[in-house]
Amino acid sequence: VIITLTVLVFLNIYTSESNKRLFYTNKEAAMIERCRMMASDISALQVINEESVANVAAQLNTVRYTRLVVTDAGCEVLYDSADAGKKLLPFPEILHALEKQDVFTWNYSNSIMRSCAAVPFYSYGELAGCVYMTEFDSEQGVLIYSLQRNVLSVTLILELLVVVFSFFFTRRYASRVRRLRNSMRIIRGGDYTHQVKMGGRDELTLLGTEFNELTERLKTSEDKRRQFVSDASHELKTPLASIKLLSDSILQNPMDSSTIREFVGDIGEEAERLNRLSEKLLTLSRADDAAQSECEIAYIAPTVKRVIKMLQSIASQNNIRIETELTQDSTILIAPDDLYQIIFNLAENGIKYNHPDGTLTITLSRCDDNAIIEFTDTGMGIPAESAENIFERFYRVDKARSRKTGGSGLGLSIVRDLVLRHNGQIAVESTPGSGSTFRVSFPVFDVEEDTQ
Amino acid sequence: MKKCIIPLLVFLLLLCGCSQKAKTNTATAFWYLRGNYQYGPEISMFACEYVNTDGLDTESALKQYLEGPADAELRSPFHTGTVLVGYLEEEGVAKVTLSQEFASGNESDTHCAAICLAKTLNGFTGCEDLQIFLADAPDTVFLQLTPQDFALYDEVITDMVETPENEVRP
Repeated sequence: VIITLTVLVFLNIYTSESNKRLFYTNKEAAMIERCRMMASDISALQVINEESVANVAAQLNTVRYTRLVVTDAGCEVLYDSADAGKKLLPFPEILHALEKQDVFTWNYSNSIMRSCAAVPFYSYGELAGCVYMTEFDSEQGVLIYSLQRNVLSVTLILELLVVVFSFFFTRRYASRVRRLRNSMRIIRGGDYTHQVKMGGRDELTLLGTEFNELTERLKTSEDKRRQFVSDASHELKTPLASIKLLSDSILQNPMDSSTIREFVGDIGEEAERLNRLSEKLLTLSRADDAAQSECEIAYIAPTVKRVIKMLQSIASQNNIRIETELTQDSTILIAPDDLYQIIFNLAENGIKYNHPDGTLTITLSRCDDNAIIEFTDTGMGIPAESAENIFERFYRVDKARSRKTGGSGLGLSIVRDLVLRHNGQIAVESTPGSGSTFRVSFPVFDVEEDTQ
Repeated sequence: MKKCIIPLLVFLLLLCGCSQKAKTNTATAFWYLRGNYQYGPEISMFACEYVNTDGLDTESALKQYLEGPADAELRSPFHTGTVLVGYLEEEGVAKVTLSQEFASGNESDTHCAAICLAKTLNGFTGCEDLQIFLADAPDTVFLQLTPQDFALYDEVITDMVETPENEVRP
């Protein structure tokens, strides 16, 4: 507002002064010209006296002036159109002109313009006097005044509009900012369902939309966190309850040593399950929170081979055959530990949830710029209704079997998180009763192209 | 109490008025020319400075006046070397005899100097008419001035500002 007001005031002054300057310049040129014309006629006279000067003045009666005075070199009056009866007129303009200077002065007040010009004249090369002319012009004065008044009126109206608009705009803006701030307080209080409503189509509306999206994400994140805590508590509680039950049984019931040994063995198994669960939770937590692991350019096949070596004994126990097609190997940019974890979890699932005498096939291939790893088992498959949820934490298709096989419900969730972290994709195709195929793809890192 | 305060205030006011009057009595306006040209309604080339002439007779005051202004913004209109030769008042006419240098400048300077002298003497002695004599021709009036003979600024145009309908001659 202050800047606008300053600009308007400046424009007002500038316009007004420019107009006055224009009038001044025109008037100066016109009056000096008239005086010079008169001075020239007087200079041409043989004898310069009151009578001859009066004759010249009479001949120039078409010239526009208010007062015309002709003095000699001693500022003594030779001719005065106002006939004021004065002998000496030592006006500043006349004295200045008698110093052989053309003089023009200009005064504007109360919408009246008063102009004055004085020009020296010479006779036989000597200074002989001066012509003094004044003009009193209310017409142009009124014009300047009306211009000034109009510019001032427009300026005042504009200033008023600026003030009024600024006032309303500021109030509206402040109200919307206040609304946004109140919403932030509500969210800070924990109510993630709150949504701010911002009208309009400006930056504040965009800010409000962003804020709502942020709130939505916070809500989703909070819901997931609660669900996770709840699920994790439940999962941890189950082995703990078993341990408590088994230990109570040992303490409260008389048992023979072999039964006690069996119970203690069960307690050990539950403890082992608890341990595995804790490790998986830690892995998941690291995948969630840890900064990007250090990535390396790695071939996939060596890691697949390493995993198969690790899982070979479990597969043999269940009489499951592991087949591989690793000829189309590719290089990808990934943290080696993460790649190992992904392949291990998917291969382990392919063995755990397979039928005895089944097969797990691991295939490497390339499609466009993506490296594909496929894990195809001949297991029980996944029902269509569960396919969407298998990557959720603690989700199990068959809970009884999962427990039996030592599953935690976190393996696929970890895989999904790690794959996404490395710009990969994971998909599953399954036919219940026939088996499932997990397909993981990563962008190929072409060593020659991508390092240039 | 009010009865005492009001007369006291009146007395104090009178005292102030008297003291100002006393001041103006001893300060004389010495008229000179302005150092620079100034223009505008009712602005002339002539300006005065007030000088304490307490105890001085007219002749001594005139001699002091001819020495020139103390104010740096004013200048003396008298040609260098101009001195007072004689002074006489007769029937309200101030007769001043000055040295020959008075007439040695150009005409307009001489007329301006005469106007300054006339205004100064008018303020000091009350004489409205002035006759100036030169030392080498003491019996011949060199220049004679009355207040009606000159105008210091364009009074006609100033008067017309009050009556704008009379404005421009075609």
